[in-house]
Amino acid sequence: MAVKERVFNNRARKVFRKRIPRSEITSGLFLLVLLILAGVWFASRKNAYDPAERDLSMEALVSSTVEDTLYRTPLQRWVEPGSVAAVGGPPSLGVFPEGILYDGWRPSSGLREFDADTLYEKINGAAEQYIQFGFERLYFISLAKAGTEHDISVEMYDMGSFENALGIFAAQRDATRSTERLGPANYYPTEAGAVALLGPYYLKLFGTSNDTVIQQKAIQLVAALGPLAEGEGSMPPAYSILADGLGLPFDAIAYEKTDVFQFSFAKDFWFGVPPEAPDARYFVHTAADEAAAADLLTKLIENNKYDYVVVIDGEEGVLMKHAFLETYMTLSRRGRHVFGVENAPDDAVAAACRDKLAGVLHGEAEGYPAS
Amino acid sequence: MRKLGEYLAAFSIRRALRITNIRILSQAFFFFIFLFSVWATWTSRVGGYPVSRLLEMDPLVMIATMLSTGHVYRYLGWGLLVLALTLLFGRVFCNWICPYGTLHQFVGWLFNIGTGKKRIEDNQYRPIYHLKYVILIIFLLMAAMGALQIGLLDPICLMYRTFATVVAPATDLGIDKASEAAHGVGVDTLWLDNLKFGPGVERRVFVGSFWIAVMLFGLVAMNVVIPRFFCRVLCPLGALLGVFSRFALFRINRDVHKCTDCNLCLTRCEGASDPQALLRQSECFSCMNCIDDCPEDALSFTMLRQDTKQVKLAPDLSRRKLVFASVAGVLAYPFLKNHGVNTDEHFSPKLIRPPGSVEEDQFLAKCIKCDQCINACPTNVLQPATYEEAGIEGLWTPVMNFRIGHCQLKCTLCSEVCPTGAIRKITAEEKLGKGAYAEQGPIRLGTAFYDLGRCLPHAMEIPCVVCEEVCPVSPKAIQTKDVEVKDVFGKVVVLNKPFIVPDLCIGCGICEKECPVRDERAVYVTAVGESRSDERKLLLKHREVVG
Amino acid sequence: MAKQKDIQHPEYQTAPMTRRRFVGRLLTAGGIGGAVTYLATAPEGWPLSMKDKSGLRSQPVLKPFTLQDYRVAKPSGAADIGIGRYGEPVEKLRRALDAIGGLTHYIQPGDIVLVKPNVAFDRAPNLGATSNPELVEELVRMLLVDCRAQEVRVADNPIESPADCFAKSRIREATEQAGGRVYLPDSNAFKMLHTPGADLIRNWWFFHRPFTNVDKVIGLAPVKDHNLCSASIGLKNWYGLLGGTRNQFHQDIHGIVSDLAIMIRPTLTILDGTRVLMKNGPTGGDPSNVKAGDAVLASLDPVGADAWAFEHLLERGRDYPEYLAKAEAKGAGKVDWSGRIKEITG
Repeated sequence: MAVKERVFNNRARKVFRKRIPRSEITSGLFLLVLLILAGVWFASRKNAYDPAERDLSMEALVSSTVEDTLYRTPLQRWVEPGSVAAVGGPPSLGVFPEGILYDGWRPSSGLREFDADTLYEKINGAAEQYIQFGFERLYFISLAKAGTEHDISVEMYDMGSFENALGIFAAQRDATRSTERLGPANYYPTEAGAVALLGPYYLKLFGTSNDTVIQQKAIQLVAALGPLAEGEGSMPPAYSILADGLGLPFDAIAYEKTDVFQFSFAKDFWFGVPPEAPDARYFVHTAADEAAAADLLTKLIENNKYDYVVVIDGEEGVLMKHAFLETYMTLSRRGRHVFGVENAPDDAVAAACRDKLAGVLHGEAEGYPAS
Repeated sequence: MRKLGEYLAAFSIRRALRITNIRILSQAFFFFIFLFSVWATWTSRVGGYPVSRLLEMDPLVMIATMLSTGHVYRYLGWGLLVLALTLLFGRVFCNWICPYGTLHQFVGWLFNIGTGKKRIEDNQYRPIYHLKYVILIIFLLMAAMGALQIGLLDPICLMYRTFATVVAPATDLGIDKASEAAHGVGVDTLWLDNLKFGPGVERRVFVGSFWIAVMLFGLVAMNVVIPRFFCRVLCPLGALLGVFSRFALFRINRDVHKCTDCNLCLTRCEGASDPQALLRQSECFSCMNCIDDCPEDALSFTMLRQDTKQVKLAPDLSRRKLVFASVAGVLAYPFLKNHGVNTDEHFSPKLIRPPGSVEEDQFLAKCIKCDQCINACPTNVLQPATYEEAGIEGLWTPVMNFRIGHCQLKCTLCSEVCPTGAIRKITAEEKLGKGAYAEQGPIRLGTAFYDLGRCLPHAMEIPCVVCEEVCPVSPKAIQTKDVEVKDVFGKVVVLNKPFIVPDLCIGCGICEKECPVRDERAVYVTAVGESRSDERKLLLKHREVVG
Repeated sequence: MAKQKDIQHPEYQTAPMTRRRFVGRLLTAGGIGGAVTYLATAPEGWPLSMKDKSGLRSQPVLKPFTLQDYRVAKPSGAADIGIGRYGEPVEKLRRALDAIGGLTHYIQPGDIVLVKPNVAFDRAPNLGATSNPELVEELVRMLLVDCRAQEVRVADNPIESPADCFAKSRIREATEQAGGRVYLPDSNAFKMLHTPGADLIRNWWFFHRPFTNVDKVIGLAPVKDHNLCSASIGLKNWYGLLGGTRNQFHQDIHGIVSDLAIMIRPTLTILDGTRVLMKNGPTGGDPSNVKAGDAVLASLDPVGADAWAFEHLLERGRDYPEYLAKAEAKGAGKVDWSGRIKEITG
């Protein structure tokens, strides 16, 4: 039978019964009342619980409090690989005093030392010059300022003696800079550091930039290292002659250890620049004894004859004139000292300088301590 | 209009108060109680409401747990009320109280377009209706040996489970969409939040709930094939009440002298209990529809005026079927227990049970898979278990999924609403191991572990440490080794590299929940170290601070 | 009200509910209801009450048992620790037992004796990881023949497959040759043991089945190096009687071994120094790890015996493992063996 399919049942409820007994009605009403009571009971249970069970009372928390005594490893700081701290252990400064660490500077490389055999590892070909001047030991360390990029390297050459150190100092000196004195040190600042002479030590400081921090640190290092120069024995006499006797400024004094005047037999000559004749140079050599001095003088005169022409050969000494350059040179001897002037522009200047020097030596010779 | 007039003319108060209308009111009342219970099972609403009372009233739950544990937990004594009702009035529960029965009946009434003749045919007794007794026997035998599986088919459990995991989120989704649309046109719908099952949180989801939906709605859909299909063919609670109803004092009685054998009483017979012939007492739902339909007033619901020849008291279960059912029930137990997926030697690391749970063997003997705990959970961390986590036996029992939520530190709601004590009722003090419980320490759900290859500070030099921040115990169960490194981009960063202190970890899972590596968390909780089980412990002893 | 007209089925006789039947039904219903009500609602203390308000009643409670003290006082003139030297292993064993007064002093006729050797791994006997089967055989024979014991049981719960270990170490062969019986561990063989005074294993699963009705217990342990706890000698041998999750013990091995020392009070501890596992213990595996020793100890004091064996057989001097001092502190014996030993060399 094709009945149209409905979705919902829409038949009305037909009740066929005829009789509804009273007991049914009363029990029905009774049940209704029971349901209502059940509903009321259910609703009344809303707060029928103990909130303390669902939370933690303060007493319980306090009574079972646990002290937190766990060990917590401290923060491990970042250490740049290769730095002394990375290598481990407190920084060893060796010969350097602690004062070099002033103002937050820390070693960024370890202390290294070089002797005459290993110096070339550090400064390659430049080592020759140092070795010629009697180099003994190089102490090297570099310092970095914490929290910055600044780094300064400290090279301290132990030349063995004051004259050796002065020699290399003068030989490498930047002529445009004038030397200042800071305590026992003579130094001049450079673009990014300083160069100093501290007794037998020749000090070179190089920074990574020309920042004022670097420059200030360089000065501070010179000051800090000053104590190393003290007590290193008395000044060599020739130095006293030039500095005190002639009154020459520090910058004017030089020392050559070997191959002086390009003669292999000539060693240990002090030089000084006379203020009145900047082209000329005083020179003084203190020989072991008078015989050696005389011998040296003879040799010098003889060898100089190849280039020079003797002009005057007198009591004060020999005056020579360079055949080509037309400069004048004197050579004289007083006691153990062989001295003179070279590169003088004319004979009068040469003679005057020689006399001056002789005068100092004369005074010196008389009161000269036997050495 | 004319229909209304007709109706008004025919109206009489007496008719309006007949017993079937009372029954409809009762059904509506209990269905509302059920809906309210599911709705009120929420942290801000539950108060002291007996939200699991319908489950606690379920005599099948009471008897099955009596068999499987030897004890009657907490409120399960309320099942005696329904038992008493059944001993008085027969299977009134099925048609006056049971919300699932109400649902079936309603859907059947709504969509049943058959003629009277077809309806009479549909309500004939069918031999297949004995199946529910077979199911009952199998379940009860398994329960007697310690394997509780009644929750799979018990109607109240089914309803709670489906409403909690399927209907509640679906309703919330609908309300959300409606609110969104209303907002779009400027209407304020904040009051709609009161209707939501899970208000004030991100909408909840339940893993695997699709299949739970299929089960319930599939069975409901069967009502267009056979009316009250589930209640007549499958329901083990109905079967149990059917067995007890043979002692009922009241029953439907047919006066043979008045009866004309017209079979009209079958038109709306819910239980298919043959009121027109020998009444099958074990099938009758006491729905009273047959009384309404008899034009001769031959049917009544009576105690004293019964014709004892017109009733068949015992359920229709032959001895043969009884033996088969018993064998199946007995064999099911060792087959299930040796399945090997959920033993102390071989258990899923993801089988993390709620706090207060008893150890696993006992749990499986108590959990009726009603999912009230899952419903109550405020963080959505409780999920119905799948096969991988708990095996066949543990299907739809509660497990924690810390990718979705975490166990709120002081919350003990799941233990409050559990009707059978699979999650034993605990207080916040017991959960955290404070006060009187300081000696035994907190309840541990598991232990957290790190996947160091995925952890940002450990593997990628990226500062993180959310896990340590959110760890709720004091002192924290996550400590860090702090180290400064220069990362690959040259920046010096401080890395707090976390590690677990298992002696302190309670397995609450908030570290896993908050870990930013969202797909496979770098810190995750597994079940080892849970305090409910001696066999699944991690540590021999808990270390104390030295000196 | 409709009158009873049109009566259908006039011959039909109704069978109304008789009073008797009604009362019968009422009583049955009431009876069932009442019984169930009582079971479910009677307070927890009442007999047959099934009520369980907190859920704690239904939790299974294991009732642990305790072990008896199997010690026997030594005869006067005997030492605590007897050392047998030189000769075949069985000769060494006899000498050691004689030094403490003879086996017959300790074992009465009719006793059921449990011998606990070390059968932990499926190693051949010459690898020193398990007890010497010759000694096992001789001991069992002495017990049955010399002491006329009723029954001698040999049992161990190895980490590896029990059947394989007993077979490959030849201890099963030795036992059965001498007339003893081997007990293997299965699911039903364990019960929860309570050891009062223990720190870590106060309650632990114990291989109980071989202990039923036992009168005397003798431990027969090899002397082995052990990486984690320094040495595995007499005290550690009792580890083989425990079940459960033993793999947790390594978290505090010295605490555990000192607990083992008071868990069981054996009649005698025999230390098998015929093959000493000097390194790569406790599993060994290469004959080069083994040194032939020349002493067998029989001791009433397991702590002192362990100390002597550590010093003289493993040759590790006096830096004793931590567990010895802990065991002494728990009252299991005395570490200082001086003055309590007696050597018999032939």
